Amino acid sequence: MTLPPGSICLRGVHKSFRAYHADSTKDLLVRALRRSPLWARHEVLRGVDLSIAPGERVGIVGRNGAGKSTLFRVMSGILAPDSGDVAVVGRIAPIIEVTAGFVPDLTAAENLRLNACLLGLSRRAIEQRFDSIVSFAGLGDFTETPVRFLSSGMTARLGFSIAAHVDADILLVDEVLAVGDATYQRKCIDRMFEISRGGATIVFVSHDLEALRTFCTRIVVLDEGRISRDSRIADAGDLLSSPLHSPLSGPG
Amino acid sequence: MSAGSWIRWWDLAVTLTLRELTVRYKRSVLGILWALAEPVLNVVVYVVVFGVFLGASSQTPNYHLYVLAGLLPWLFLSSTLEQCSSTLLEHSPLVRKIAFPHELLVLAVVASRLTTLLLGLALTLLGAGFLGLRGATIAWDRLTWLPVGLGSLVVLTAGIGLLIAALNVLFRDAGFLLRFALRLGFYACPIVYSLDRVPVEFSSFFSLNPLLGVFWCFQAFTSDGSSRIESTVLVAHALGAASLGMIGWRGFRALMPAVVDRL
Repeated sequence: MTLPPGSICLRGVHKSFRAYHADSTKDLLVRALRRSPLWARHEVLRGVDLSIAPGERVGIVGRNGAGKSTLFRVMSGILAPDSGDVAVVGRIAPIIEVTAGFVPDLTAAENLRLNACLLGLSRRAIEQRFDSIVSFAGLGDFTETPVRFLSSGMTARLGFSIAAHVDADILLVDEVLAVGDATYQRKCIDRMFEISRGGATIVFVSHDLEALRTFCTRIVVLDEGRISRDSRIADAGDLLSSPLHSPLSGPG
Repeated sequence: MSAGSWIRWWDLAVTLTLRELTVRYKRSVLGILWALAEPVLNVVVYVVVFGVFLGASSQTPNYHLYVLAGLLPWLFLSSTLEQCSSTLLEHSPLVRKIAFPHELLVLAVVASRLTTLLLGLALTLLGAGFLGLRGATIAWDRLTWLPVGLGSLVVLTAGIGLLIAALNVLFRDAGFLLRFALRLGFYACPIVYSLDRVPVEFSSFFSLNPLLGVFWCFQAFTSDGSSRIESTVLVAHALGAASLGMIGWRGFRALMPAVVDRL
């Protein structure tokens, strides 16, 4: 079966991490000699099935620790699943855990070039789009500043701006709205609509119910590593209406 | 892989390499000249200590040139490996958040250090030409071995660099061990002394050194051609370097999933 560009298909995806009890090689050796366990298995994704068609705008919701970021990292090919199949077709641009892959010591411009290159833009295309990426991010005179000195809002804007300029078939957007002001949020949503009209698939993680309601065509609820609900936006009214009683709120 | 993705990764390799180069010499007055100053200053020290004080220059012809020719591949190897050991840690945000062939981070370090080595070699050849004009015996025909040595050195360094980069994320001890091994390695390799000064009872032990062939290829032209080496030994060392490169790359591939989980 061949899927068209922009498709995502996950089948029975499991992913767990080892949480090491030892934090040095010496501890590790001592534990190994005593035959005590070296690590605890921490299961983050426990059998995720998810098919997304090209052009869909999918909102992923769930509590902290539900596995959203891990799901994104598996989708974008950064992590290999322990078991299950992952099929992602086309160029994918992920924004994970607010900041994209920024190296703190490099300047904003260096990080921009590196990230755009990693996301698949040629060096020529990067130079052509450099100014519009910088101006969308509102970086102003900060292009030569190391990223560690930028505000979290500015860093997030730059990450989003790069991902929004690489002509991806699939855009994975994680929490970028959490750090911006209202104007910037509006600007991001508008830009995401624009990219979506171009035919790209957008998967969007947010705790902002209003943004989910205006933007998404489909809502997927992730709960303790499983998909507990998957519905069209028209049927998801109860999920998005009252934050207090919604299954999304609660401890953690 | 399709042609498109090759171009894409090539662009990435170029971007990473250029960055390594600009970052290293940023904010230094001499800039890229340090690439030449570092080996030359080292050679001065070694020639004074080992050549003059300990008398090595009377035993090895063109001792200063010999030391320079041996020091360049050694500085390449040691500085590349030290930088490789930290490159995945430095770039952990990239590794954690974007999927790409992680080998490129290591290979960019190798490529940027290789430019330094080539600059140094150009300087060495100029020096050799100068000495030749002043009547020193230079075995120019033996320069044909230089590309063989260079190729082996790069492959071998890349292999060990890949392995050390991945291992150092899993066990930070790898970095410390490396630094110690490099200290030792400097004296285990024929850089400040020539092989024919090594007592016979040690020589079989010395020939196990996978870098021996590399050093011979770099240093052969600096003397009148009296120091010989079997070409079969050179081939064996080149093959050894190639297999070390392969082992390193395979090891890197095998370790990377665990590395990404740990970063």
